[in-house]
Amino acid sequence: MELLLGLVIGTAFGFILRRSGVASNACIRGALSLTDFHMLKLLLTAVGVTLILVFPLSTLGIVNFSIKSTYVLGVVIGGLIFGVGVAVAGFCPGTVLAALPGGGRRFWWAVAGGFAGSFAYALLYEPLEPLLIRPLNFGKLTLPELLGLDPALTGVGTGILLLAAVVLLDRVTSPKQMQIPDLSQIGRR
Amino acid sequence: MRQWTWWQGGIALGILSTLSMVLVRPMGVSTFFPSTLGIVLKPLFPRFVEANAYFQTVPLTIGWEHLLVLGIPLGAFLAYKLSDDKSSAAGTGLATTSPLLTFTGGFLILFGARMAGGCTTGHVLSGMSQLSVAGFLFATAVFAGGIPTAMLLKRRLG
Repeated sequence: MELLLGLVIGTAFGFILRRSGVASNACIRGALSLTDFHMLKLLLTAVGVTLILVFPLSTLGIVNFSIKSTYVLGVVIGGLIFGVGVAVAGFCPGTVLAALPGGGRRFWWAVAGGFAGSFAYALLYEPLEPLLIRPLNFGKLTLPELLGLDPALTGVGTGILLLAAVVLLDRVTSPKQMQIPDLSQIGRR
Repeated sequence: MRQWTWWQGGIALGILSTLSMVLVRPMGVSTFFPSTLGIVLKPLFPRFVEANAYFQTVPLTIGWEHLLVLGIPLGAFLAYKLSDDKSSAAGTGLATTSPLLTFTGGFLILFGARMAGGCTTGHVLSGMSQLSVAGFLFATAVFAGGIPTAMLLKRRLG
């Protein structure tokens, strides 16, 4: 049952990524060079909507949370390396897989690189673990725990704030409205 | 069918990520890579896989994360077939990128994701949606590493 749900959810995930045009390296490079905010707005909307839905549902005890450990050094250094890689490849792991159908053979190079990168990390894990994972490891830490706030309220509140930030970002960055035609220029064409 | 706008895609993705957490667990993509590698290597080099500390931390049997990841290109294929625009955006952009650069990018992405314990899906989409501190930290680091690199590449490659 879990396997079938995985396939259904994955298929819907790939469909959404492709249909909304984020499975594109132009889109992802644009996001990182701060010229195209489509992907950023989409991702923040998704996080905002999930926060607003999941935290009220969690009070009913029907949400399976799975919090990742906050080991500061590994998460930050890994994130920096990941960011450089995303800019170089123009993809992240999910979007490159959604770009494969009809996307040309080049994309498989990113997938092959992904397997090579995972292998390299597996080889280096033993010496890196005491340096990056063990120190400054706060375990499964969440914002409400850190700040001593009510989880449901913080979840919904953060969700609303994120959605407001997205609308603001959209207003600020979207192309300006059609300008009122300059009457003095009309006869000159 | 036309391409979805950011808010259509965002709302759809938010509902899907909520469903995933209620029905199974939060979505994640990057574990698939080392886990698949471990499953393939185990019958070939059983002693190496058993002795490697990292392969002991990832699932070494086929589970829901594998089916989830296999579903992604399947769903993308459906979206591709249904779209009017066959020369969709996914086909452009990498023309200026060599296979070596693409391979290097993929290498760094998964190396970094495995070090941090997740990628855009696991740490940002699922992690931030659970108010995980690691998710916010990861997202900040990704932009700190990605923005200067993208700016530099834009200058070089145009």
